[in-house]
Amino acid sequence: MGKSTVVPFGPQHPVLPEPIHLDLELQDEKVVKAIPSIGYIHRGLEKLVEKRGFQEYVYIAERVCGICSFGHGWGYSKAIEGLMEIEVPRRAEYLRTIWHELSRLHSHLLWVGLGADALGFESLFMHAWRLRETILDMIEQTTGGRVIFSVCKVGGVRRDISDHDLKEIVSRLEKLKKEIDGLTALILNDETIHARLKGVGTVSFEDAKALGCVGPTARASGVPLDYRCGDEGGAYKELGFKPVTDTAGDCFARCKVRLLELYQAIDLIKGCVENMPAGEIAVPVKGFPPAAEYFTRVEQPRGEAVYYVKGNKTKNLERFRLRTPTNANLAVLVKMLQGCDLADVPNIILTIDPCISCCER
Amino acid sequence: MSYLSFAREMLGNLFKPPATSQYPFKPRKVYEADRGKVVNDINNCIFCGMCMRNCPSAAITVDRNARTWKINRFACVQCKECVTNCPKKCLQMETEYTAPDTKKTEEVLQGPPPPPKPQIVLTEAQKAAIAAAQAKKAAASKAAADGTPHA
Repeated sequence: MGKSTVVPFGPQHPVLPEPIHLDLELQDEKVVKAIPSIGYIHRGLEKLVEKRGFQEYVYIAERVCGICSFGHGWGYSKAIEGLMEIEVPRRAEYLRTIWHELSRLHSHLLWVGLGADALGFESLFMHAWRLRETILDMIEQTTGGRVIFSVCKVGGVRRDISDHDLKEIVSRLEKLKKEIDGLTALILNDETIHARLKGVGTVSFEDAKALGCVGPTARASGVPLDYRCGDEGGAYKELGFKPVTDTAGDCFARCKVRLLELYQAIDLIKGCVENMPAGEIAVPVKGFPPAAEYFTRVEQPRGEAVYYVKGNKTKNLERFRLRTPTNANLAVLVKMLQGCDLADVPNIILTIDPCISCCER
Repeated sequence: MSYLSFAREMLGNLFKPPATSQYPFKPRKVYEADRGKVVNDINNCIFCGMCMRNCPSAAITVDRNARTWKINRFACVQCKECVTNCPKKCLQMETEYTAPDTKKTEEVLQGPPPPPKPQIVLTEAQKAAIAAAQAKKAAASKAAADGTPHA
């Protein structure tokens, strides 16, 4: 047994897109213990709810995260709609589903790129991000923004998608699907990727349940936890949604679940376009939120996010609380890092798809 | 299972045009829905302040007395809320973004002076008619005060 050393990892590290600091306690090359610490990009966005009107706050909720921005705007709007008992038109729910799944596609493709970069596979990183660019173009064409969509509002959506644009989205997704086929075949069959990811950072079904992890991290360990299954909002119920799961629980399984979710997202968007109902896209919102509480959930690309709101009969809310998926996955990350090699630490951190700015808000 | 499975794609890329656009030599692709910057047709503006009240980032300041419309373009989040709420539809969203600057300057638009109130010029006959109507009204009110029924 060698001498124990503590190696700091992050907050500035080439593989980390966002700042998280880990103190890695090492015995030779093996990690014995990992102590995470966050707090580098806290912005106090939850507190701002007391200063901004409840309808204006949607734009701040969207800015919690740059990747799953639409989902946060939707989650906040859904919570207010539940609090004020507003029924959202079906067309608005279908449009929200389309935009949410488009942002899942772009988030997962971004993750494939970052994961490949952590492996040292830079050309795959460029390739994945090139595919992501077509999704960003579709988002820009339909919403007017590439990262922050600003289309979700309390009571519905602010923009409609024309039939012509809907058809164009489907035809472009068909083309993209062929390119994703190549990407998936490459990642799932490449010997080097297998050597780096298989059997690394394994989480058992029991651990995944006990530590309360969410999203693709939980699903890769065989926990069929996906809020889209029981989601009353969105079009998931009508489209017969079933989660993608795997049983291995290692980095490779998490990678595989995300890749298969790309196909699922494309199918969901196609389903939405085929069954798109006609009608209104928003209902007017009158009055202020009542003095009551409400909580709801949204399945973000990284997992389930929980939204809690408390009104007080005024323009401003009394409290808004957001539990993000990365927050839930940090506990399991610490468990994964115990006993792994130092060289595998970047891969393991990347496979939970950490979003620290979401986590700190 | 294979090694070098990406080699084919990589070699193919050598003979493909670049995926990135050659900005600024080629203009960027613009979509109709793009939210670039807000512009105000100041001659149609009534300085009602709806844009200021609905701006989530408080980037717009409207002064009704001084007839000025100010915007801090670097605080604007391009949400288009002001354009949606403008009653006169004098605000528009352009697809071009704000040009970068070294200072966070405010853009101030000064509205034209308010149009003069219309002067009513009356003819002699109209003046006489108004005087007669006033006299009749005064007589009627006097009669009502005396308690005599109105004829």
